[in-house]
Amino acid sequence: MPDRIEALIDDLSSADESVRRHALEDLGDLGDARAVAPLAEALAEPSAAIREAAVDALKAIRGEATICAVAPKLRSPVTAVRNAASEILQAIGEPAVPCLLRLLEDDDKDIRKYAVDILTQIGSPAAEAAFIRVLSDRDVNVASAAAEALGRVGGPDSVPSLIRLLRTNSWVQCSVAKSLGQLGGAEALAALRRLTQDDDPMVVFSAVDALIHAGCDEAFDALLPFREHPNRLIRKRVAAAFEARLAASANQANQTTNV
Amino acid sequence: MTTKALVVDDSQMVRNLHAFMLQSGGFEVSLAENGSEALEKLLLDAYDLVVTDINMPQMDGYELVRSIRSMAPYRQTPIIIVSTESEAADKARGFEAGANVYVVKPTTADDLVLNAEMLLGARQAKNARAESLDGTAALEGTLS
Repeated sequence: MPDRIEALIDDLSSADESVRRHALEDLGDLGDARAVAPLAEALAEPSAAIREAAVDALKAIRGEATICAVAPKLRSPVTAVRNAASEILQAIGEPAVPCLLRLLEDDDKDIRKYAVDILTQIGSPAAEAAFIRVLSDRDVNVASAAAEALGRVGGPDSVPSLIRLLRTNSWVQCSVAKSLGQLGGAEALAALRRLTQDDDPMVVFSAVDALIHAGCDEAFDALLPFREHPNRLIRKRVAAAFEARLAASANQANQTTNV
Repeated sequence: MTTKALVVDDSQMVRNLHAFMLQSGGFEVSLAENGSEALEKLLLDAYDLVVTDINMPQMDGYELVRSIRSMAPYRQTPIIIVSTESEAADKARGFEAGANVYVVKPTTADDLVLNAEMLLGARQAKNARAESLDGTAALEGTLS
């Protein structure tokens, strides 16, 4: 007689969607690793409800078996399956990091990009050194994603590597600008000031936005001339930032007076 | 009259940069972080153009494009997919779903704005032709 796990796995082949969904939910609750492979197959089911149930079950089971079964699904031609795999690996978090670090070396640029995105969501500090290496990736989207990720998971060590990347593609420059604004510090601010002199208005906009995000007095001093910038959108962005800063300091002054 | 574009992408940086490109080209831009938010905005307001990513959580770009095409006011609205996925199969899926143009990231302002203008121009020309045919039919009806 088949045990409960085997019976539930058999139920996954049922023609009745509600039977399949209940089986997925029960397999998730039981947390048995034997269910991982059939659950991973269920990620490709046409029904969104079944796919969601499979995602929830795999998130509940977690473990090495789930990571090994789910990571290859990032190669699926179906976006919904790739998204499901990404969601599960993010939910597993730290235990999935070694597998994702290996995927940063994959031949497929889309897989490397997925790995960067998932590692960024996990926010693992172990990813910083790997992201610095990925800055030199041959694919601009992967390098750009790593540059943007360093603003979230990086520290002061990332700043020089990011600055070195400023002589590349405009899109990468925008990602670097964003991260430099998040990381802050004298070196990052100086690089952002230089970037505001770029020829590409999109890069200037990103550098200005990053200085606004940095938020310190030095950054706002650098932004003063941009209130008169010929580009209407840059001018508007800077004016709004100065207004918001003024309102915030007035609010703070009021609170101090009230105290 | 301004042309209204809806930019859909789960990355805030990409949304902002695409908005900057389109605004520089004279478009009025609204932003949505995912497919559900985009559909809500499309129901509440009228848009002339949609620019969407593919890889987004919950509802991917293909599903979003299919949903947009099922909404009567948006059957002919130009849709541009902007994605890092560059395989021919990805593009084919985008066109199958109902997109008009598939642009591979990283996008340039020219890619985005010129494609948008071309699609909107073609749409206006098509509408003008339809109106003119209607007019001719009406005139023929009057004469017969």
